[in-house]
Amino acid sequence: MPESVINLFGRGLRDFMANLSRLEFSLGSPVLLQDIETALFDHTASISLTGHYSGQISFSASRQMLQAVLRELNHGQASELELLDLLGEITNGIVGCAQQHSPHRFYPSPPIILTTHDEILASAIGKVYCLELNWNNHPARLMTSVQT
Amino acid sequence: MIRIMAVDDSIIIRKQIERLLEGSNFVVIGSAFDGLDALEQFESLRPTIVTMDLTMPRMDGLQTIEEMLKINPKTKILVVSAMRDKRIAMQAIRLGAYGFLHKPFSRYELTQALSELLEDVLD
Repeated sequence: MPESVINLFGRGLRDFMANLSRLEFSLGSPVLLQDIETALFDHTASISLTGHYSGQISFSASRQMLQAVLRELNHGQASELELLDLLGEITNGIVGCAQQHSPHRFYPSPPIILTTHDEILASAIGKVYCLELNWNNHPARLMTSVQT
Repeated sequence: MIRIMAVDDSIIIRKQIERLLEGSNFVVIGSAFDGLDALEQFESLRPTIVTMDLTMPRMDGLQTIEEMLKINPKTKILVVSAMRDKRIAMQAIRLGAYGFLHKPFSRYELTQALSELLEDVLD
């Protein structure tokens, strides 16, 4: 996977978080994921890409982070369904933000929530690169598994 | 009050639109989770403005715009999407959408986008 592709989705994550709230966040450097199971938080959403890029973009976050995002958006109490829905929207937003920087056309699927490690492993194509996010003291991870 | 229908597969976004418009001149009179659901409700709700997501299961936003405008060409459609592909936005405009709002959005950005549509409605 070219570094430019990893950077493209990293830029999407940066733009999305900057638009989401005024709270500070930090991003680590992309690393090749060795053990996908240890990289996952409570919930993971995935979007399939077709077009110039094919593969998966996944975002994994803790329940606490999703609840904190909802508070930031002034939502009241959220059901489990709404937390997972939010996770999908975050993943969708990250991919959408990456789209505006891409020199090539690609098409994202609606987000799906991955419920088992098997599903996550099956969704990865080739190598998976992981980008650490820390937002409002909540860690999360963006995983890029894309071919051109 | 200007009647709004919110079409989005995300319940969070549908609720957010409804909440952000509280106290404004706009009222959400109905919502739908995809294009087919939207078309089923569209004729009975008769909204002035529809906020339309693009990436949805069963029937996507572009196809829904086309079908809605066949039913009522006077409906104003604001695309509200995370997608930032300019060509998709242009395609939506060509199909008859009036504007484009990117997610995530603030109360100001939403009401501003809807007000711009409203100016066109009143012209």
